[in-house]
Amino acid sequence: MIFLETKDVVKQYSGHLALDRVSIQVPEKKIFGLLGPNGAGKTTLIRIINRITAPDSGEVLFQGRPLQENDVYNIGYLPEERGLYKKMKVGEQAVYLAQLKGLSASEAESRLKTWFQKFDILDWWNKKLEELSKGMQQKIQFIITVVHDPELLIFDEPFSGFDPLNTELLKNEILELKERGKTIIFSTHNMSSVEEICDEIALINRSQVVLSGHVTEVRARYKNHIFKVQTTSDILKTDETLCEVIEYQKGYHTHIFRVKKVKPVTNSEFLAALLQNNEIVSFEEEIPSMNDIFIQTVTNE
Amino acid sequence: MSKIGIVIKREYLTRVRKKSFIILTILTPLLFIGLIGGTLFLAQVNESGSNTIVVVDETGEYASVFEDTDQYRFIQAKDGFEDFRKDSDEDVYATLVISGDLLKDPAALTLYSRKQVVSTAVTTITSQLNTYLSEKKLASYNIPDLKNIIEGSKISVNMQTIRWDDSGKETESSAAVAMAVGMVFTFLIYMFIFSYGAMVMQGVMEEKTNRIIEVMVSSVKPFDLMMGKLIGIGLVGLTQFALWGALIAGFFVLGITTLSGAGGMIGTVIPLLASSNILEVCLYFVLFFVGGYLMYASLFAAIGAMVNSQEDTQQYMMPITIVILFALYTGIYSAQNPDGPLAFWASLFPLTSPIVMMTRLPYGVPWWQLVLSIALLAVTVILIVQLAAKIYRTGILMYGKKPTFKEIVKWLKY
Repeated sequence: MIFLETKDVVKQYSGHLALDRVSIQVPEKKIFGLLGPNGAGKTTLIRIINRITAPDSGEVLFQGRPLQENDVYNIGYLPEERGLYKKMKVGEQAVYLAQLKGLSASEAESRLKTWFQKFDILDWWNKKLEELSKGMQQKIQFIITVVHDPELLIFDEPFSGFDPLNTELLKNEILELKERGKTIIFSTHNMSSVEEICDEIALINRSQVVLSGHVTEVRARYKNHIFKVQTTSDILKTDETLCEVIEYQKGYHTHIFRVKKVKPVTNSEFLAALLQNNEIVSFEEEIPSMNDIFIQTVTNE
Repeated sequence: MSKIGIVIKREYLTRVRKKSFIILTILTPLLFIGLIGGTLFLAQVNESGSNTIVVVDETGEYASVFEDTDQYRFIQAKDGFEDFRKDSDEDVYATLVISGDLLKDPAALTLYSRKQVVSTAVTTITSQLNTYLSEKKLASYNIPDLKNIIEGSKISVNMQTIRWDDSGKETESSAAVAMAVGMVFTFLIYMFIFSYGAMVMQGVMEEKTNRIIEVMVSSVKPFDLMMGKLIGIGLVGLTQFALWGALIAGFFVLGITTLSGAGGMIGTVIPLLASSNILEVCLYFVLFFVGGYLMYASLFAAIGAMVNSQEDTQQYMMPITIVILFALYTGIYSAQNPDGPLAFWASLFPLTSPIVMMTRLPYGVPWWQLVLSIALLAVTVILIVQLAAKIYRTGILMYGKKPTFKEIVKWLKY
């Protein structure tokens, strides 16, 4: 089921077209990766979904009906450029921001205390924000994003500014949110994290969606039939109409060939053909990484 | 609670709870009273120690004329003028040289000194000489008893000013008190509009440069956020005004009880203040402050939203500063002629009326002018707030270069 959908969204800023008929479909209870180079229009699209700006044309459907003002209570947004009130006490401003997302003051406080406890930062409650390190501030910002328990979460570059330890912590939190049935839009440049946690993606380049779909399906689409075959012999006995050797490398007691399958046969048939004449140690298809796909798509545009 | 209410609450509480606000609110009236008291006190206490002025009188006629005052001591010189020039005697403050008959040549006297002489020295010398010379001149006419005749011809009137109210009832009024009250409130409203307007601008810029604005506008409409900020900070201003009013009233009550009978300056001021329409002025102060503040502070909010740094604000603030300063000077000028055409028009024109009306109020303003002025102000406030909200809405999310005038006009159309 589609949780959030944009249909032909167009946004024009003075002088340039920020979004050109952008349509994306975010499935329910999945993590949706919104990818694209800097300045492609991701942030504009996210702002439209958050009702921060209005599209010139096109519409945004939330659970199948047009997005309404009250829907912001059901969205949690962690912007790329993060910031909180520096001079305000952490707990106080967290309660304030949670109230603006529709929680009562007492409800906000009890939920926040639970989160602070979970992150083991309860003793920061009465500290001023400026007394905390940047990483600590990021944690607080994350809590503020999720405290009103929204159905849709939007994380714009959530890992920027986090150390590896906290990145891991945050990643687990995001996956936990997914397990609890939340729908997540995840915008990032970090392609390895996309492979790790995203279910579906849309790649925006120069204001348009240029690629979208399920991550494994997208990667499969970009396969170029290259296989890594490890054998015991330094010669790969094969038919030239079946495949050609691109690269050879001597391993420890083994020999590694990178081959390109030429004949349109299935992988099993290909392996069966190879097995007839060779002692195969391992056989693996090279699937392009999201990073390769990203670079290839964006540079080819 | 509505979102706008939540925003108002935060804006208000974070500022009112600040130590600087509490200290300033309590200290300012004390400082004010201390300053007035201190000035009065210092003016009464004469400068301690006296300065010596050496009189080199070449005519021999005037040296004996000078009488010592608290501040200056006159000594006749035994030596010639040239000796004093070389002698750097620290005790000698100045040397007065009289070189001829002053009735024939009024410029025949010169004051020499090593330090710049203060003006009281000059006035002390000239006034003593003038008295002597005019008496000498009068005597030279040989009219008997002339001095007494002139003395008797000096007449001083003592006018009482009484104002008629609409029913013809008499109230004793004091033009001086009206002017003082007007000036105080004119400066007060100018200060309040400027400082609280600037506070709004700071607040908007803080949210923009902090980048918290992105989180804020994903939950609050920009208009609600701006209005919440405007109202919250405006309430801080009114709180401060109320506290000052209470503190000053407290001081006066204290003054009356302790000084009752003794009279003194406070004793005479109180009934005059009471006779002037000070409570009415306070009420209108609040009204005009609300109007003037909303008008200017929303413009300041728009500026805060347009810029990315403190330095950029100057350029945009300039036109507004000029208008507010113009209003202030018009207000000061209007004190001399509170019903003149400049005062009249400036107290109706919404951009200047909040300030200029304060000057006019203590003198009494016809009710239709007040109603018209407030109505015009209210309409202008609504228009300007809407205009500012449009600039604000777009500006807060724009980073990078300063917007050009053309771009701002475009924002208004979004």
